[in-house]
Amino acid sequence: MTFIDYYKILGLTKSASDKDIKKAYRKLARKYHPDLNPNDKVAEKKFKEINEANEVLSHPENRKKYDQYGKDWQHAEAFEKAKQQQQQQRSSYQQSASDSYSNQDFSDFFESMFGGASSRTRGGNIKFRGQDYNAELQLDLKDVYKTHKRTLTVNNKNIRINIPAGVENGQVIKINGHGGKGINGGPNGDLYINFSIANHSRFKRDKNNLYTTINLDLYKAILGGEITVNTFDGKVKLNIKPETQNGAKIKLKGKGFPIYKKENQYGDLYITYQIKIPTHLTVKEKELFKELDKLR
Amino acid sequence: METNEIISLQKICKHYNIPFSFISSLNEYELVEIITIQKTQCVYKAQIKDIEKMIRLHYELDINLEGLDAIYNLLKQVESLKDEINKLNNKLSLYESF
Repeated sequence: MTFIDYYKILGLTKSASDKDIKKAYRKLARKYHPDLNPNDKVAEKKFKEINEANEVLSHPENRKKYDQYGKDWQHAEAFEKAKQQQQQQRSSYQQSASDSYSNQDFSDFFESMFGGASSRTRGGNIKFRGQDYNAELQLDLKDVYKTHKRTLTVNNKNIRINIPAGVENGQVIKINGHGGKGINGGPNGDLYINFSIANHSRFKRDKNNLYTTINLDLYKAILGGEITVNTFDGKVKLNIKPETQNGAKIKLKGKGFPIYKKENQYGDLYITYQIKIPTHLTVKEKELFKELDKLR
Repeated sequence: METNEIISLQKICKHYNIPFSFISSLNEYELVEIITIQKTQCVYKAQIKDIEKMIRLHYELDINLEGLDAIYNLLKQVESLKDEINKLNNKLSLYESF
Protein backbone atom coordinates (compact mmCIF):
# COMPACT_ATOMS: atom_id res chain seq x y z
CA MET A 1 0.00 0.00 0.00
CA THR A 2 1.31 3.42 -0.87
CA PHE A 3 0.35 6.75 0.58
CA ILE A 4 -2.18 8.63 -1.50
CA ASP A 5 -2.15 12.42 -1.50
CA TYR A 6 -5.86 13.17 -1.71
CA TYR A 7 -5.25 16.91 -1.80
CA LYS A 8 -3.02 16.51 -4.82
CA ILE A 9 -5.65 14.36 -6.58
CA LEU A 10 -8.16 17.20 -6.24
CA GLY A 11 -5.51 19.81 -7.11
CA LEU A 12 -5.73 21.41 -3.67
CA THR A 13 -3.48 22.31 -0.75
CA LYS A 14 -4.00 21.28 2.85
CA SER A 15 -5.47 24.68 3.66
CA ALA A 16 -8.39 24.19 1.24
CA SER A 17 -11.82 25.08 2.63
CA ASP A 18 -14.84 22.75 2.46
CA LYS A 19 -16.14 24.94 -0.35
CA ASP A 20 -12.87 24.55 -2.29
CA ILE A 21 -13.03 20.76 -1.90
CA LYS A 22 -16.62 20.60 -3.10
CA LYS A 23 -15.84 22.84 -6.05
CA ALA A 24 -12.71 20.89 -7.06
CA TYR A 25 -14.52 17.56 -6.74
CA ARG A 26 -17.49 18.71 -8.83
CA LYS A 27 -15.20 20.07 -11.52
CA LEU A 28 -13.11 16.90 -11.80
CA ALA A 29 -16.09 14.57 -11.41
CA ARG A 30 -17.83 16.28 -14.33
CA LYS A 31 -14.72 15.67 -16.38
CA TYR A 32 -14.14 12.03 -15.48
CA HIS A 33 -17.60 10.69 -14.50
CA PRO A 34 -18.09 7.20 -16.07
CA ASP A 35 -21.49 8.23 -17.45
CA LEU A 36 -19.77 10.95 -19.44
CA ASN A 37 -16.85 8.77 -20.50
CA PRO A 38 -18.35 5.41 -21.48
CA ASN A 39 -15.84 2.58 -21.89
CA ASP A 40 -12.92 4.83 -20.96
CA LYS A 41 -10.79 2.86 -18.50
CA VAL A 42 -8.45 5.80 -17.80
CA ALA A 43 -11.36 8.11 -16.93
CA GLU A 44 -12.90 5.39 -14.79
CA LYS A 45 -9.68 4.98 -12.78
CA LYS A 46 -9.33 8.73 -12.40
CA PHE A 47 -12.94 9.05 -11.25
CA LYS A 48 -12.42 6.41 -8.60
CA GLU A 49 -9.40 8.32 -7.28
CA ILE A 50 -11.35 11.59 -7.25
CA ASN A 51 -14.31 9.95 -5.56
CA GLU A 52 -12.09 8.40 -2.93
CA ALA A 53 -10.35 11.74 -2.27
CA ASN A 54 -13.73 13.41 -1.91
CA GLU A 55 -14.97 10.72 0.45
CA VAL A 56 -12.06 11.48 2.76
CA LEU A 57 -11.75 15.23 2.47
CA SER A 58 -15.45 16.13 2.42
CA HIS A 59 -16.14 14.38 5.72
CA PRO A 60 -14.71 16.42 8.62
CA GLU A 61 -13.93 13.36 10.74
CA ASN A 62 -12.16 11.52 7.91
CA ARG A 63 -10.29 14.63 6.87
CA LYS A 64 -9.13 15.25 10.43
CA LYS A 65 -7.81 11.72 10.69
CA TYR A 66 -6.14 11.93 7.31
CA ASP A 67 -4.54 15.28 8.15
CA GLN A 68 -3.41 13.99 11.52
CA TYR A 69 -1.67 10.86 10.32
CA GLY A 70 -0.85 11.86 6.76
CA LYS A 71 2.17 9.99 5.47
CA ASP A 72 2.40 8.01 8.71
CA TRP A 73 -0.88 6.37 7.95
CA GLN A 74 0.55 3.01 9.00
CA HIS A 75 0.27 4.21 12.60
CA ALA A 76 -3.34 5.06 11.95
CA GLU A 77 -3.84 1.51 10.74
CA ALA A 78 -2.37 0.10 13.92
CA PHE A 79 -4.41 2.52 15.96
CA GLU A 80 -7.57 1.62 14.07
CA LYS A 81 -6.90 -2.10 14.42
CA ALA A 82 -6.68 -1.75 18.19
CA LYS A 83 -9.87 0.30 18.18
CA GLN A 84 -11.63 -2.19 15.92
CA GLN A 85 -10.65 -5.11 18.17
CA GLN A 86 -12.31 -3.35 21.08
CA GLN A 87 -15.40 -2.69 19.02
CA GLN A 88 -15.55 -6.25 17.74
CA GLN A 89 -15.62 -7.56 21.30
CA ARG A 90 -18.64 -5.37 21.96
CA SER A 91 -20.59 -6.03 18.80
CA SER A 92 -19.24 -9.04 16.97
CA TYR A 93 -22.71 -10.05 15.84
CA GLN A 94 -23.40 -6.77 14.11
CA GLN A 95 -22.21 -7.66 10.67
CA SER A 96 -22.35 -4.74 8.30
CA ALA A 97 -25.64 -4.41 6.49
CA SER A 98 -23.91 -2.57 3.71
CA ASP A 99 -22.39 -5.62 2.06
CA SER A 100 -24.25 -4.81 -1.09
CA TYR A 101 -22.09 -1.73 -1.55
CA SER A 102 -19.01 -2.97 -3.29
CA ASN A 103 -15.75 -2.03 -1.62
CA GLN A 104 -13.70 -2.70 -4.69
CA ASP A 105 -13.95 0.92 -5.88
CA PHE A 106 -11.68 2.12 -3.10
CA SER A 107 -7.96 1.71 -2.64
CA ASP A 108 -6.29 -0.46 0.01
CA PHE A 109 -5.04 2.76 1.52
CA PHE A 110 -8.61 4.01 1.96
CA GLU A 111 -9.78 0.69 3.37
CA SER A 112 -6.97 0.56 5.90
CA MET A 113 -7.60 4.07 7.12
CA PHE A 114 -11.32 4.41 6.96
CA GLY A 115 -12.54 0.84 7.07
CA GLY A 116 -15.45 -0.49 5.04
CA ALA A 117 -18.33 1.14 3.33
CA SER A 118 -20.10 2.29 6.46
CA SER A 119 -18.28 5.59 6.52
CA ARG A 120 -19.57 6.53 3.12
CA THR A 121 -22.75 8.34 2.33
CA ARG A 122 -22.76 8.35 -1.42
CA GLY A 123 -26.02 7.07 -2.75
CA GLY A 124 -27.71 7.10 0.68
CA ASN A 125 -30.52 4.57 0.73
CA ILE A 126 -31.31 4.88 -2.95
CA LYS A 127 -31.24 1.58 -4.80
CA PHE A 128 -29.11 1.65 -7.91
CA ARG A 129 -28.28 -0.89 -10.51
CA GLY A 130 -24.76 -2.21 -10.19
CA GLN A 131 -22.05 -0.97 -12.48
CA ASP A 132 -22.01 -2.32 -16.01
CA TYR A 133 -18.88 -4.29 -16.83
CA ASN A 134 -17.14 -4.29 -20.18
CA ALA A 135 -15.02 -7.18 -21.39
CA GLU A 136 -13.27 -7.91 -24.64
CA LEU A 137 -13.38 -11.39 -26.12
CA GLN A 138 -10.76 -12.16 -28.74
CA LEU A 139 -11.73 -14.81 -31.25
CA ASP A 140 -10.62 -15.98 -34.64
CA LEU A 141 -12.93 -15.66 -37.65
CA LYS A 142 -13.23 -19.44 -37.88
CA ASP A 143 -14.45 -19.50 -34.24
CA VAL A 144 -17.53 -17.50 -35.13
CA TYR A 145 -18.44 -19.49 -38.22
CA LYS A 146 -20.46 -21.82 -36.04
CA THR A 147 -22.60 -21.12 -32.97
CA HIS A 148 -20.80 -22.38 -29.90
CA LYS A 149 -20.61 -22.00 -26.14
CA ARG A 150 -17.66 -20.52 -24.29
CA THR A 151 -16.80 -20.02 -20.64
CA LEU A 152 -15.58 -16.59 -19.61
CA THR A 153 -14.11 -15.55 -16.30
CA VAL A 154 -15.30 -12.12 -15.23
CA ASN A 155 -14.37 -10.90 -11.75
CA ASN A 156 -13.47 -14.44 -10.67
CA LYS A 157 -16.86 -15.75 -11.78
CA ASN A 158 -17.22 -18.24 -14.60
CA ILE A 159 -19.97 -17.43 -17.06
CA ARG A 160 -20.94 -19.79 -19.87
CA ILE A 161 -22.23 -17.87 -22.84
CA ASN A 162 -23.62 -18.78 -26.21
CA ILE A 163 -21.76 -17.16 -29.08
CA PRO A 164 -24.02 -17.04 -32.12
CA ALA A 165 -22.46 -17.68 -35.51
CA GLY A 166 -21.93 -14.54 -37.57
CA VAL A 167 -20.90 -12.21 -34.73
CA GLU A 168 -19.04 -9.25 -36.22
CA ASN A 169 -15.75 -7.67 -35.23
CA GLY A 170 -16.51 -4.85 -32.79
CA GLN A 171 -20.01 -6.12 -32.06
CA VAL A 172 -21.11 -5.83 -28.45
CA ILE A 173 -23.50 -8.24 -26.80
CA LYS A 174 -25.14 -7.74 -23.43
CA ILE A 175 -25.35 -10.42 -20.76
CA ASN A 176 -28.04 -9.34 -18.32
CA GLY A 177 -27.25 -9.27 -14.61
CA HIS A 178 -23.58 -10.27 -14.85
CA GLY A 179 -22.18 -6.81 -14.11
CA GLY A 180 -21.43 -5.26 -10.72
CA LYS A 181 -23.58 -5.98 -7.72
CA GLY A 182 -26.53 -3.63 -7.18
CA ILE A 183 -26.20 -0.85 -4.63
CA ASN A 184 -28.47 -0.94 -1.57
CA GLY A 185 -30.30 -3.98 -2.93
CA GLY A 186 -30.66 -2.65 -6.47
CA PRO A 187 -30.38 -5.04 -9.41
CA ASN A 188 -27.02 -6.16 -10.75
CA GLY A 189 -25.48 -4.34 -13.69
CA ASP A 190 -24.98 -5.96 -17.07
CA LEU A 191 -21.92 -7.40 -18.74
CA TYR A 192 -21.09 -6.05 -22.17
CA ILE A 193 -18.84 -8.24 -24.28
CA ASN A 194 -17.01 -6.61 -27.14
CA PHE A 195 -15.94 -9.10 -29.80
CA SER A 196 -12.51 -8.60 -31.28
CA ILE A 197 -12.36 -10.97 -34.22
CA ALA A 198 -9.04 -11.56 -35.90
CA ASN A 199 -9.07 -12.78 -39.46
CA HIS A 200 -6.19 -15.09 -40.36
CA SER A 201 -8.00 -16.73 -43.24
CA ARG A 202 -7.51 -16.01 -46.94
CA PHE A 203 -11.03 -14.58 -47.04
CA LYS A 204 -11.94 -10.99 -46.41
CA ARG A 205 -15.25 -10.36 -44.71
CA ASP A 206 -17.77 -7.57 -45.14
CA LYS A 207 -20.75 -8.32 -42.91
CA ASN A 208 -22.05 -11.67 -44.26
CA ASN A 209 -20.17 -11.70 -47.51
CA LEU A 210 -16.73 -13.15 -48.05
CA TYR A 211 -14.23 -12.12 -50.70
CA THR A 212 -11.25 -13.98 -52.04
CA THR A 213 -8.90 -13.93 -55.02
CA ILE A 214 -7.79 -17.11 -56.76
CA ASN A 215 -5.06 -17.64 -59.31
CA LEU A 216 -6.10 -19.02 -62.67
CA ASP A 217 -3.59 -20.30 -65.18
CA LEU A 218 -3.54 -18.66 -68.59
CA TYR A 219 -4.62 -21.71 -70.57
CA LYS A 220 -7.64 -22.41 -68.34
CA ALA A 221 -8.64 -18.77 -68.60
CA ILE A 222 -8.45 -18.92 -72.39
CA LEU A 223 -9.84 -22.38 -73.04
CA GLY A 224 -12.09 -22.84 -70.00
CA GLY A 225 -12.31 -25.93 -67.80
CA GLU A 226 -12.92 -27.07 -64.28
CA ILE A 227 -11.10 -26.02 -61.10
CA THR A 228 -11.51 -26.79 -57.41
CA VAL A 229 -11.60 -23.83 -55.02
CA ASN A 230 -11.61 -23.53 -51.24
CA THR A 231 -14.65 -21.93 -49.63
CA PHE A 232 -14.77 -21.16 -45.89
CA ASP A 233 -16.18 -24.58 -45.07
CA GLY A 234 -14.84 -26.84 -47.76
CA LYS A 235 -14.00 -27.27 -51.44
CA VAL A 236 -16.26 -26.71 -54.44
CA LYS A 237 -15.80 -27.40 -58.14
CA LEU A 238 -16.18 -24.49 -60.52
CA ASN A 239 -16.58 -24.34 -64.28
CA ILE A 240 -14.39 -21.72 -65.87
CA LYS A 241 -15.87 -20.13 -68.95
CA PRO A 242 -13.58 -19.91 -71.99
CA GLU A 243 -11.97 -16.48 -72.45
CA THR A 244 -12.28 -15.51 -68.80
CA GLN A 245 -10.71 -12.09 -68.26
CA ASN A 246 -8.23 -11.10 -65.57
CA GLY A 247 -10.11 -9.53 -62.62
CA ALA A 248 -13.40 -11.23 -63.54
CA LYS A 249 -15.63 -11.80 -60.52
CA ILE A 250 -18.11 -14.53 -59.77
CA LYS A 251 -20.58 -14.95 -56.92
CA LEU A 252 -21.15 -18.22 -55.10
CA LYS A 253 -24.54 -17.80 -53.49
CA GLY A 254 -24.82 -18.96 -49.87
CA LYS A 255 -21.10 -19.74 -49.57
CA GLY A 256 -20.32 -16.66 -47.46
CA PHE A 257 -20.49 -16.15 -43.71
CA PRO A 258 -23.46 -17.15 -41.52
CA ILE A 259 -26.01 -14.38 -40.97
CA TYR A 260 -26.12 -13.40 -37.29
CA LYS A 261 -29.01 -15.09 -35.47
CA LYS A 262 -30.52 -16.42 -38.69
CA GLU A 263 -30.06 -20.13 -38.64
CA ASN A 264 -28.84 -21.77 -41.86
CA GLN A 265 -28.73 -18.48 -43.74
CA TYR A 266 -25.46 -17.41 -45.26
CA GLY A 267 -24.05 -14.50 -47.21
CA ASP A 268 -22.28 -14.95 -50.55
CA LEU A 269 -18.71 -15.66 -51.55
CA TYR A 270 -17.20 -13.39 -54.20
CA ILE A 271 -14.26 -14.78 -56.11
CA THR A 272 -11.95 -12.64 -58.21
CA TYR A 273 -9.83 -14.42 -60.82
CA GLN A 274 -6.23 -13.39 -61.13
CA ILE A 275 -4.73 -14.80 -64.28
CA LYS A 276 -1.16 -15.98 -63.93
CA ILE A 277 1.04 -15.36 -66.95
CA PRO A 278 3.54 -18.19 -67.45
CA THR A 279 7.19 -17.32 -66.85
CA HIS A 280 10.49 -18.93 -67.96
CA LEU A 281 9.09 -19.74 -71.41
CA THR A 282 10.98 -22.26 -73.50
CA VAL A 283 12.12 -21.37 -77.02
CA LYS A 284 9.34 -23.51 -78.42
CA GLU A 285 6.69 -21.80 -76.28
CA LYS A 286 7.93 -18.37 -77.33
CA GLU A 287 7.72 -19.39 -80.99
CA LEU A 288 4.16 -20.63 -80.54
CA PHE A 289 3.10 -17.40 -78.79
CA LYS A 290 4.67 -15.41 -81.66
CA GLU A 291 2.69 -17.50 -84.09
CA LEU A 292 -0.50 -16.84 -82.13
CA ASP A 293 0.34 -13.15 -82.07
CA LYS A 294 0.65 -13.12 -85.87
CA LEU A 295 -2.80 -14.77 -86.12
CA ARG A 296 -4.37 -11.88 -84.13
CA MET B 1 -50.85 -0.85 -14.72
CA GLU B 2 -47.54 -2.57 -15.30
CA THR B 3 -46.32 -5.07 -17.80
CA ASN B 4 -42.98 -6.61 -18.64
CA GLU B 5 -42.23 -3.54 -20.72
CA ILE B 6 -43.48 -0.64 -18.65
CA ILE B 7 -43.24 0.50 -15.05
CA SER B 8 -45.29 3.11 -13.18
CA LEU B 9 -43.72 6.49 -12.48
CA GLN B 10 -44.82 6.24 -8.88
CA LYS B 11 -42.75 3.12 -8.43
CA ILE B 12 -39.72 4.67 -10.14
CA CYS B 13 -39.87 7.82 -8.01
CA LYS B 14 -40.24 5.82 -4.80
CA HIS B 15 -37.45 3.44 -5.75
CA TYR B 16 -34.93 6.17 -6.54
CA ASN B 17 -36.25 8.62 -3.97
CA ILE B 18 -36.73 11.37 -6.52
CA PRO B 19 -39.58 13.85 -6.99
CA PHE B 20 -42.10 13.24 -9.72
CA SER B 21 -41.23 16.69 -11.11
CA PHE B 22 -37.76 15.42 -12.08
CA ILE B 23 -39.11 12.74 -14.43
CA SER B 24 -41.74 15.16 -15.63
CA SER B 25 -39.00 17.66 -16.54
CA LEU B 26 -37.06 14.93 -18.35
CA ASN B 27 -40.21 14.28 -20.30
CA GLU B 28 -40.53 17.98 -21.20
CA TYR B 29 -36.99 17.90 -22.56
CA GLU B 30 -37.93 14.75 -24.49
CA LEU B 31 -35.27 12.77 -22.65
CA VAL B 32 -37.82 10.30 -21.29
CA GLU B 33 -41.15 9.31 -22.73
CA ILE B 34 -44.05 9.16 -20.29
CA ILE B 35 -47.02 7.10 -21.38
CA THR B 36 -50.42 6.98 -19.71
CA ILE B 37 -52.11 3.62 -19.51
CA GLN B 38 -55.42 3.35 -17.67
CA LYS B 39 -54.81 6.71 -15.97
CA THR B 40 -51.41 5.57 -14.68
CA GLN B 41 -48.30 7.36 -15.84
CA CYS B 42 -45.56 4.93 -16.82
CA VAL B 43 -42.19 4.76 -18.55
CA TYR B 44 -40.68 1.99 -20.62
CA LYS B 45 -38.38 -0.27 -18.62
CA ALA B 46 -35.83 0.03 -21.41
CA GLN B 47 -35.44 3.68 -20.37
CA ILE B 48 -34.55 2.93 -16.76
CA LYS B 49 -30.84 2.81 -17.53
CA ASP B 50 -30.98 6.30 -19.04
CA ILE B 51 -33.09 7.57 -16.16
CA GLU B 52 -30.54 6.25 -13.65
CA LYS B 53 -27.77 7.92 -15.58
CA MET B 54 -29.60 11.24 -15.50
CA ILE B 55 -30.35 10.89 -11.77
CA ARG B 56 -26.62 10.42 -11.15
CA LEU B 57 -25.60 13.33 -13.34
CA HIS B 58 -28.23 15.63 -11.83
CA TYR B 59 -27.88 14.74 -8.17
CA GLU B 60 -24.20 13.82 -7.97
CA LEU B 61 -22.76 16.39 -10.34
CA ASP B 62 -25.34 19.17 -10.06
CA ILE B 63 -25.93 19.19 -13.80
CA ASN B 64 -29.12 21.04 -14.63
CA LEU B 65 -31.71 19.87 -17.12
CA GLU B 66 -30.34 21.95 -19.98
CA GLY B 67 -26.96 20.32 -19.32
CA LEU B 68 -28.52 16.85 -19.21
CA ASP B 69 -30.22 17.51 -22.53
CA ALA B 70 -26.92 18.57 -24.13
CA ILE B 71 -24.97 15.66 -22.60
CA TYR B 72 -27.58 13.10 -23.57
CA ASN B 73 -27.53 14.19 -27.18
CA LEU B 74 -23.73 14.37 -27.31
CA LEU B 75 -23.41 10.89 -25.81
CA LYS B 76 -25.75 9.57 -28.48
CA GLN B 77 -23.56 11.19 -31.10
CA VAL B 78 -20.43 9.67 -29.53
CA GLU B 79 -22.08 6.25 -29.61
CA SER B 80 -23.09 6.60 -33.22
CA LEU B 81 -19.59 7.81 -34.18
CA LYS B 82 -18.06 4.81 -32.40
CA ASP B 83 -20.34 2.51 -34.39
CA GLU B 84 -19.35 4.29 -37.57
CA ILE B 85 -15.62 3.93 -36.75
CA ASN B 86 -16.13 0.25 -36.11
CA LYS B 87 -17.92 -0.26 -39.41
CA LEU B 88 -15.24 1.69 -41.26
CA ASN B 89 -12.47 -0.29 -39.56
CA ASN B 90 -14.14 -3.51 -40.64
CA LYS B 91 -14.46 -2.18 -44.19
CA LEU B 92 -10.86 -0.96 -44.20
CA SER B 93 -9.63 -4.45 -43.39
CA LEU B 94 -11.12 -5.54 -46.73
CA TYR B 95 -8.59 -3.42 -48.57
CA GLU B 96 -5.59 -4.18 -46.41
CA SER B 97 -3.22 -6.82 -47.68
CA PHE B 98 -3.17 -10.21 -46.03
